[in-house]
Amino acid sequence: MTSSFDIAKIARLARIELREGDEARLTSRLEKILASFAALQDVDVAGADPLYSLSEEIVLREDVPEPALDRDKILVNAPNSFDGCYRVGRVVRSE
Amino acid sequence: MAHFEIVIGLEVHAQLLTKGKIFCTAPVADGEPNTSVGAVSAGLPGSLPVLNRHAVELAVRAGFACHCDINLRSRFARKNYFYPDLPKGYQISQFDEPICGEGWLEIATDESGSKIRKVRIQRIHMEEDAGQLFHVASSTLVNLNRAGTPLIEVVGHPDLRSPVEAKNYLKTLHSLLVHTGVTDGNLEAGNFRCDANISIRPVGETKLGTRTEIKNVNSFRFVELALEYEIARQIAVVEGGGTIIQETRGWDAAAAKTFSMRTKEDADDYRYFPDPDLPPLVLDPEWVKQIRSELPELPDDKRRRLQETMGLSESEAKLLLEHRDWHVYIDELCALGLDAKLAASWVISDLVGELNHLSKSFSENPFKATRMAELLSLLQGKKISRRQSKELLIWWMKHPESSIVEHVKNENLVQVDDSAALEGWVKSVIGANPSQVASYLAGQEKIFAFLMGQVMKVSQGKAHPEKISDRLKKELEILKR
Amino acid sequence: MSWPMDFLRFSQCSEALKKKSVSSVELTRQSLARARDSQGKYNAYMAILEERALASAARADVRLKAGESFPLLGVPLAVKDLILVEGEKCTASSKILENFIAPYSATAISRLEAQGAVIVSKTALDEFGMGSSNENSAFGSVKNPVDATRAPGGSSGGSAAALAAGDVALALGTDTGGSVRQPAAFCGITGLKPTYGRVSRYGLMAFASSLDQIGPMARDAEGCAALMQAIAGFDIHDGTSSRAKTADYLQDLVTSRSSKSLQGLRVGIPKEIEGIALESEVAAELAALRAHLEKNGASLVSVSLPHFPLALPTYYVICTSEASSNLSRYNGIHTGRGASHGEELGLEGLYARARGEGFGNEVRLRILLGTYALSAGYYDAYYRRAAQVRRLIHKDFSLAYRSVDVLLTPTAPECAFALGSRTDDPLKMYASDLCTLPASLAGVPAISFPTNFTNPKLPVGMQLMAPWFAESRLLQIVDTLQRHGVGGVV
Ligand SMILES: [Mg+2]
Ligand SMILES: [Zn+2]
Repeated sequence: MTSSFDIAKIARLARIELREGDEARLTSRLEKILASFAALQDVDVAGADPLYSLSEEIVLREDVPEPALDRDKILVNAPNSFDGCYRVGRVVRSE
Repeated sequence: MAHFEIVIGLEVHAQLLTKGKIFCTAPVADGEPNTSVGAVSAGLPGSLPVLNRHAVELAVRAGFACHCDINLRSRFARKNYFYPDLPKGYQISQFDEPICGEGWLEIATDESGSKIRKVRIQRIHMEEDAGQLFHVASSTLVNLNRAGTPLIEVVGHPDLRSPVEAKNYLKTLHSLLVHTGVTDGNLEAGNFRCDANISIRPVGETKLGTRTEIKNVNSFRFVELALEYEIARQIAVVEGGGTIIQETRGWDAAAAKTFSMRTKEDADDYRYFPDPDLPPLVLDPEWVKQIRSELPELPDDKRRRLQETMGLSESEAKLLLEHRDWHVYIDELCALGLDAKLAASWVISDLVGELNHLSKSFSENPFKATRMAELLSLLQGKKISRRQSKELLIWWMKHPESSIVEHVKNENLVQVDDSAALEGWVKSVIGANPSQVASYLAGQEKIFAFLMGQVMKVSQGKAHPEKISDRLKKELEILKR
Repeated sequence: MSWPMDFLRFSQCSEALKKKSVSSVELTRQSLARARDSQGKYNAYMAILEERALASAARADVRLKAGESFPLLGVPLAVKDLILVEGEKCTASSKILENFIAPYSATAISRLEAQGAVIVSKTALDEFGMGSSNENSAFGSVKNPVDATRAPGGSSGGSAAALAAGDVALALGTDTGGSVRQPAAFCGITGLKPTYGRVSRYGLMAFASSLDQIGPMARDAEGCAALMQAIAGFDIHDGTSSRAKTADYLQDLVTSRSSKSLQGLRVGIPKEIEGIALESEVAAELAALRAHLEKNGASLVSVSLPHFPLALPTYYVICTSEASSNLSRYNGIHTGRGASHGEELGLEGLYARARGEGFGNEVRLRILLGTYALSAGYYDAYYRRAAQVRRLIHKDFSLAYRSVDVLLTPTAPECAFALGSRTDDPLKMYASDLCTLPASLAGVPAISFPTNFTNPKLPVGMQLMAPWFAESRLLQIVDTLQRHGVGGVV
């Protein structure tokens, strides 16, 4: 495939802020890795149904809810909470 | 205005009526913030989605209600994006393998509902709802109670051609889904809400114009208003030489305006892929059959059935569907042994007509079915005529405490089927009209009607016409020989 | 009191407890003391759970006194810090989870604790399970107790090191592409990756959902069997969990001891391993093991798994794609360390800052790779195509098992490499998993066990792979070999 890796675009999509020097270092590593994947493109996959899950059939649960988790046990892991809610800096509506 | 055709397609999100969430063990409830949240709906590390069987059943039910193909094999996919109402960073939805395929709805094309048209549904898929954000002072608070609530998204084809059609489509879909128990349809709570895609194009053009999407409108009236506003706005843009930009717009109810929320320039890349935590959803055909068999009768099917069993016209049947209380009343009458066709037509035309005449609602009908059955039994037993029954009803409405049977007896209104009396009346008429009888016997059959009328007259309307006719024919036959 | 060598193996612990020659509290105290001591040398732990361990050991002693006899009752156990234990920190060896406290326990943990196992520690790993040397950690790398200048392997390197150091007789690891097996090989212990779906993933922090499995690690196959006995089986909290009946892993071992279980065993050798450059010591051990198997009545069959060489790119496309999505939940708002500062960054900036600061280099690299493989325009060429090749690999295994009972390869092409020797070359690092990746992609069970026919200077691990759900077969074979003295266990 291609070797042009638009790291800024991908990093933005992945919400990963790049550090000093990252752009060049990561791009060169990623391009090397992608180049090593070239063999994938040469395989004859005609008629091969993609294997996304090794389990053939889904497990279903009955509609019998269990008690909710204790709110404090959840929010203790949130960096910022207020009044029983997760808190973020004000989100502008159009975002 | 006239040069543009309007093209509207609706995407409706309806909350499924389950006790628990779609993939999480937590209950669907709305109390204090973040008090109905489980490991899955909080997106906790290590948590895994497990699908709620009842949610699947309701989605299949919705599929049947919308005449959709049911896909025995479907799959869940992840829609990846970052937003504070989405703790996992992806929404579990269905992408290229939804649970229901193509279907259709019949909708009214105008306000009066006189014309009905079929519009197509593209698909119905299952997904989880996101949480809710509250904006306070300098920060935004996140409540995940609603996160993970089961939804179906009903995606319509762009077949709608006016805001009224869009409104009627929504109303039809809403009543179908509520009727079949798929959703509670609570509009204020946002349990039934719609995104509207709208574009305009010159009449005759077959390519679709650039569309805008109006997000999250949760009232029938607002959808109509928002679409009207948006049509006018788009036309003004185009006629002013501008171009429509593809964007998401919100509806500001207070200002009665749509407003731009965001443009699609930075094309969202949701990186959909099959959710590896959820193997394919394979439906047992027997289960699907059972869901179908347990489906409450759909309004259209019911209307057709009423037309047949009750001998009603389409419009009468529709009236009956809209008025559950009339229907209950008719059913009660039938349970008392009255003929369905007779009871239905009498209630819909005579009883409702008289109540309307008196400016009364149906609930003000003074007669319980058991009492009304007394009057209708007389009609069914041919003791009184249809015309008499209506006259008796008019009298009875004024004297609801009285017994109708007593009244009929006192006034001597009962049609006589006593054969001796009948024979007497017939013979006296034959005797009193020798020349007419002779003409009849000579072959002038039209005279029969005259002789009938004479017997009716002599009997003072107490003789049943069919019985008069039978007796008269018999007596004339004897004379013939 | 120092830990007598008698307690390295599960059976020694369990017999001593049953005979009441030692109490669980005594055993646990010794285990804790050893852990504290070895932590300074090998850095194998994220946490040593002194209080929790002593409390559960005391409870276990009460149950032992009452005559209860679960195999694991009172036995100390180390748990990889990617598996949630309610009320304890679970860091994934990541800065982004440095303060995360587990609000619930993984199913495997609940089952183990119900049977009275004593969790004494949380072991270090490559951040989120991404690595093969335990050098990708926000908390320093783990050293191999066999030779502290070398890597213990990864990502369950902490668990393998804890076992090799003799701190515990049992440990839980997790395996996505070899993360139980390769460190087991590097540290000279035994580790099993179960069939996908055999052990519940509920409460295991997801790296790649379609590949991850929790696996038992121990000094020997018997220890692994005892752990499997407790953790295997259907779980309604895992939608990919299998309803297939579980075996009686321990009983199966005991039963097989009275028979010649290698007699007539058909062992397949994939000819594709000829294409992998094996270190000479590894090649010598493989040859010696083949001879040993044949001598004991097994037949060796050359088989072909034609898509074996494609396992590496297939695996890396799939695991990074899934990881890019799985790790989106660590966002600095709901879960995970927040951005260090910057309300001025706006929402997008806040996410990017928190994640940029919180994830280490390898994790960031893999998230970017996976994001790319799923992005518009590349999805078909990478993610979808890899899933198709995975189907072909799966078929290769189905076909091979028509003619053989198990497949044999080395676990890794090499022995433990020197710390720092591969950190700059991800491809060279990834190559350490060449032999373990195929079983992960196919979802079959695979076990790594040490051999020492040729007196190698460092531990060498061999891998056996069985058909789906045939874990018992692997445990029986390895148990038999270990009773022959292979690997020097007995
Ligand atoms: Mg939509
Ligand atoms: Zn939707």
